[in-house]
Amino acid sequence: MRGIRAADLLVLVLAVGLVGWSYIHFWQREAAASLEVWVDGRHQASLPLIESRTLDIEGSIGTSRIALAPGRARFLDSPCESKRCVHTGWIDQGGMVAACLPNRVSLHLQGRDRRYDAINL
Amino acid sequence: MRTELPKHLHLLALLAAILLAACRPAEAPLLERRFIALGTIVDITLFGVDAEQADPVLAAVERDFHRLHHDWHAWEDSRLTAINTALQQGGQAPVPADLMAVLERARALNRSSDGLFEPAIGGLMALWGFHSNDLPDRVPDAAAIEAWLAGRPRMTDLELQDGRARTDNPRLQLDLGAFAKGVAVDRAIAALRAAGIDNAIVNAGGDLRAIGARERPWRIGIRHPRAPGVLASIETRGDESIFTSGDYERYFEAEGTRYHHIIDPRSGYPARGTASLTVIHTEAATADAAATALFVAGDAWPRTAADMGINRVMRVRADGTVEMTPAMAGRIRFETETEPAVMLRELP
Repeated sequence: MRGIRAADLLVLVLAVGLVGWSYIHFWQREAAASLEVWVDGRHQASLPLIESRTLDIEGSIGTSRIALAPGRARFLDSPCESKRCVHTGWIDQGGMVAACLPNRVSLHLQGRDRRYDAINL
Repeated sequence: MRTELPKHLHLLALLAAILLAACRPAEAPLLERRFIALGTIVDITLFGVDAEQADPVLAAVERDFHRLHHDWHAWEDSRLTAINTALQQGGQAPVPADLMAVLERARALNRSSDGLFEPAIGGLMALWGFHSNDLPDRVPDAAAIEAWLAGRPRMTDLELQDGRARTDNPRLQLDLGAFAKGVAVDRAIAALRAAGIDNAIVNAGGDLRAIGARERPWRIGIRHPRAPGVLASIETRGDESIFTSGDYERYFEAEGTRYHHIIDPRSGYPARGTASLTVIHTEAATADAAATALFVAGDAWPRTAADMGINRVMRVRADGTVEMTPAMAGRIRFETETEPAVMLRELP
């Protein structure tokens, strides 16, 4: 009755495995900020901000080109006239927003710790 | 030895349980709705409500924002531009009841701000080129601004009676730019409450009203007017609106000078001396008008704040120093590496 059974070992392995998996899954995700891309009121994508790359987003009047980098994001180009989205530059704090309203594309940065529920602009 | 391992199993099970419990708050049940209206992104965040309960009221709130956008737009064809055209041509216009209530409220705030919140400024805003989706690129002729000032229209020139607006001043053109977002946010909060939602933020382009809380108080960052990121944060209490007017929101540069969209109706030029001005007040409409009026007031803002019944104010001056009322100082937490120089200003 007191010996270790195969099932005990299985529980042990599962428990250790769970701890390891949780560590990787939750801590790794916490460590990097992410970017939410919204197009015309719809959540289009959530992207990790770990490596640098560019991405094309189809909006209402054309293609917006955005740059992702570790912990930050920005518009590189957009089919609007004023280019206010491009002039906004990098957003790098949770809650910050960059938007091209004519193309109805907006970028919303999610911070590591969701420090702010909203940012007064 | 044989009896030891099962104990360890208990310990591991306990650790795993703690670990899972620790993970839970990160997945707080926040519900978010986002859309574009009134020339900005509107963000609605709800806590502790399921999507099924919230969906109908969120859809209604979104419809209301779109309706106000079409009713109040200052330069695209709207009910407001129709009234402006009629006022210009014949000095009077019919005004629908709901818009009448908004104009009456705007006129009361115009009075209490001693004309610094001035919705009759539409002609001057157009002259500056701010009635456009694109930014202007040149300063208007000084003579044109002088001419506007010579016949300077005021909200007090507008008579509102029996469903009609009348004025003798042909230059009077209404612009609800410093007010519409606030009114819309108040309406949204009222609708959410009526639907039994007590924990929410309605955020229209960074200006917002927050009610209730999440599993902690709602935490609002205040943008730094001269650097990327956040200058300070405020945790809301109960039911509060936080509105900021900044010279960085809409501006253009000409010959090395920044010209922003907050125009002083007394001078005809962008108000100087303030980089950003933040107010906390219960109602969003009042907070919206006050943020503009106090920005325009410059160094004299404590007088205007007292007149408008606003006691929580933070002003970042153009030189980067910060002024605050004592009531605001108790609420602000600076988030910058070095705290800025702060001067407390009592209200008269």
